[in-house]
Amino acid sequence: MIRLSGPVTATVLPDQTILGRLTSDASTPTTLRARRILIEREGVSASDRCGFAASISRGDLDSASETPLVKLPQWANYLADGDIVAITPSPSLHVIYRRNATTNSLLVTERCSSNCIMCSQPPTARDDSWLYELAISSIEHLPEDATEIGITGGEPLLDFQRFLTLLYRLKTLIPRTAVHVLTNGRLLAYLSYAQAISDIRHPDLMFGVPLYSANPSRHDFIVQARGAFDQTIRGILNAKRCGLRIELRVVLHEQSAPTLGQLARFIARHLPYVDQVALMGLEHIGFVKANAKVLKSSLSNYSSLIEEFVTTLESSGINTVLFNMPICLLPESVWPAARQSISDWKNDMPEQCSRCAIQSECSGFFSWNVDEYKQSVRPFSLAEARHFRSILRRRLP
Amino acid sequence: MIGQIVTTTESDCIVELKPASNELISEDQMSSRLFIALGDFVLRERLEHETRNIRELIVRQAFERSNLQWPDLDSARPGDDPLRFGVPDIETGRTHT
Amino acid sequence: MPFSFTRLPSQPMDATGKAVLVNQAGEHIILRMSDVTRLITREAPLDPTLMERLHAGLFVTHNPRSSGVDLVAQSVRSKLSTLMSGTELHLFVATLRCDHSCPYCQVSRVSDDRTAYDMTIEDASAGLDIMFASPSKCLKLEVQGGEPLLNYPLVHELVRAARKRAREEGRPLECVVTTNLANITPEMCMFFRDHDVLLSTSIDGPSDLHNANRPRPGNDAFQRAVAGIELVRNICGVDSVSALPTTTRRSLGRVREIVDTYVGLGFSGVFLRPLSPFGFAVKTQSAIGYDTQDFIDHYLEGLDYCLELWKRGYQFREHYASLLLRRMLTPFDTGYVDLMSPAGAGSAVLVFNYDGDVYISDEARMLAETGEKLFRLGTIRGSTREHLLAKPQFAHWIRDSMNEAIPGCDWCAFRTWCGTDQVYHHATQGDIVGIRSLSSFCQRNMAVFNWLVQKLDADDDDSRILRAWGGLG
Repeated sequence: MIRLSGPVTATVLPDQTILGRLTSDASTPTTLRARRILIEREGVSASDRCGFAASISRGDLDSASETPLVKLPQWANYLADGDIVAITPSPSLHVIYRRNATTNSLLVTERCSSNCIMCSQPPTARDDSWLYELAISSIEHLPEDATEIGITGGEPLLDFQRFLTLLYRLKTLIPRTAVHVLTNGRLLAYLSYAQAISDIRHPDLMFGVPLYSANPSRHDFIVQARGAFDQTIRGILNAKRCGLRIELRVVLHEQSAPTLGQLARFIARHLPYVDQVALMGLEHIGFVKANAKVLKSSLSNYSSLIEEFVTTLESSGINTVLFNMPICLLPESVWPAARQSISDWKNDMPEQCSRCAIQSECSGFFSWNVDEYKQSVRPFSLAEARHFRSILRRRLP
Repeated sequence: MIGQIVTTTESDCIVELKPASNELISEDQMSSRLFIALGDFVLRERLEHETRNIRELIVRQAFERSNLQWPDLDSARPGDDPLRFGVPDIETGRTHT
Repeated sequence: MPFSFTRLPSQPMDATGKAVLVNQAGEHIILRMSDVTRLITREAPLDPTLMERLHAGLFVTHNPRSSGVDLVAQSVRSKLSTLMSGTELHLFVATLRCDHSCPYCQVSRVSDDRTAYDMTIEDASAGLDIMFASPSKCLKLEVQGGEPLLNYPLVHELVRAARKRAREEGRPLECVVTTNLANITPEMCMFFRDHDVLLSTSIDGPSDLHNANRPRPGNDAFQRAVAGIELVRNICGVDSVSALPTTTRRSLGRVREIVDTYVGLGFSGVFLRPLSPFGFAVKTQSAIGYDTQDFIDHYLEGLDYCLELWKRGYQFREHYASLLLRRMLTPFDTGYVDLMSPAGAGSAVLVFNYDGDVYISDEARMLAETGEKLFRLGTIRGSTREHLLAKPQFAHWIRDSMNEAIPGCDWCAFRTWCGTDQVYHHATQGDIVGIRSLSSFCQRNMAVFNWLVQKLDADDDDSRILRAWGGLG
């Protein structure tokens, strides 16, 4: 999977964090160079670098450079024109935005008020407000035609004033870009939070909120936070009251499976106005490794549960999608709900998948799930692929 | 069963019962059914007593926009966290199973 | 958390017998009485899996300050929102004249006397003013009779004016005309097509049953109705006409034929209604009436037959059961005025009678034909909407129709799903509240709820079909 940040070697350190859009065009008009970072091709000279915010070299570093100059690390070989990066004084390189990625997210904090047993981004307690500052500063560099930006953490609403600042910048600088915020929703239980967000009137804003069970104790256990269920429910009610859009996210594992059907019925009855419900496959990373015994089960064991979940919600008119679940492990009736949710999985796929006829339409899975799945996935033949596509076509409005 | 109150005094209430449909049942069956039905009513009374407060709360909350149980939720200013939802349990020392 | 419970019929009358519990959000669960007792008395703990179901279903909560209270409050609020959103349905009785002499009819007159029995244009126009004063987001205009098409000029003008005004004010408006179709012409159909009017007719069953129930000169009510349906479909479209049967003693025992008639006419469902206890119907009770249990048996047999058809691939449903299932299984309002608490009469529906008076429901104006004008709100002309609804008795009728407070309803398991009808109870028992155990309205609804609950619990093919009827896919 793609790495997005790490230390770099540099000559000429920047004295503060530099942000810029990558370009390989050494003849970029000088008026634009202050906001560009040159990614060097062969034969670039010191004078070529003049005026750029920074320059990234593929070869040896030229210590005579006046422009901040770093060496492109191996892991960042994928960087291309149009990508947005940040170079910090430490020095380190952070990839903020990739033009070719299916989705881009801004990590704004690693602090969280919950402690989910399957968290893929285990929380820390450090003061990391520099992450928020970096995100806020990067908005002005993002392209106006970016289709969607995710805001993730940790818990983005913990530093609420910075969240509002970030949201306001997103609205004013890239108003045509959809914003999707992943939050536990607990702070939205305070009405003023929901109201303040609503007052910004962002034109295309959605909150992804987790709800793992209709039974409060079970949900609280999974998120390891007492009272979380009540707070999240109140948060959803407030969000609705203030006109905010909500996507409910359910991660499927051994602790959420027993009450999955119940949860679908609960949502259909009490929260039918949510904009979407996403059922997600488990990512084998972060806390999942430590808690494997209580979490893991094969996706094929859950087939009928997944079917029941999708059917219950869809028949109540609630848009339901499946993330992070390979098509070959899903029952046919739910194929139309599966989404291609993972970008860049093609880099790490098991051998069978490279022979599969629907590889380009499958969500695939994360590289850290490969070991788990390589025993059970199977390629689709051409005939099966035709059948798959005809099922999807039937479902189109 | 259909019942009709025949007489009521301070200490007694005499009720006349007859089956609602045409089924044949004995006096014993009638009286056992009556006692079971009365037992169910005792349960209902108990349930009503236990849930009286919550029922009132529900009806009041249905018509009230602000949160009656947790006024802090409505009065807190944006960024304030009086009920400490933003603090992980590890720090607050809250325990959970 | 608050809920009500009742033992299911044909269950043992002891602790092993099953009971249905229904909470204020309308969600239900079936438990053995032993568990119900344990739940209420807390004398012994319940199975943990069962407790999870009860928590998820909002039958229990960890503490009284939990989000469960907010969620149930949300349910209660949305159920009452219909009451608060203004009157949607407005009935206009175009004329009392009719060319059929159905013995079960509460109102019609075979007559040529237009002045005595036709609504005037002035009254219709004043009625429209009152209708458009309603704050309801959507409006529904329904033309009734007698046989409305016998006063076609009024129907024409009323619909034309209503559509024009709806367009000008940008308000969604649904128009329905009930008619026996015996007198419909292609010109009328084209008018209805151009003004988006839906037609509702009566088909009581196969032709012999229908014609016996609905005598007219020539004894061809059925043939005319079928020809009318075809004409309307050809000009206005297949979905522009619907039909309802009325059940008389003659209908009993023939429910399968009645359903087959509807299937044969291409309808996708049937609304099996009982006789109303009003007007003419009461007078001819002995000839065409039947007791409640007979209707219940007839109705349940009809439901079984519709399920059978569905399993054979016919996708045919019963509409009353579908309404009840929607209430039981979803949080959405059905808009069905006859089953609301507080009663829909006057709040969700208003009736403008041919003689210039305003009534709170169709049943109320039918009752008036027998001389009982208790439920009259005032005159159409010279009244505003506020003026009519300010009548003091109106507030009492609403208050006395809240089933939370009616003895018999207050502890009933099905209360959240059911409704009240003050006019019906006044007509049958002389009291707007009535004694529930004597009420056939109550008996019928209880029988159907019990049947539906047990069918859903069986978790078989029938359950799945019923869930589909309720709108769950």
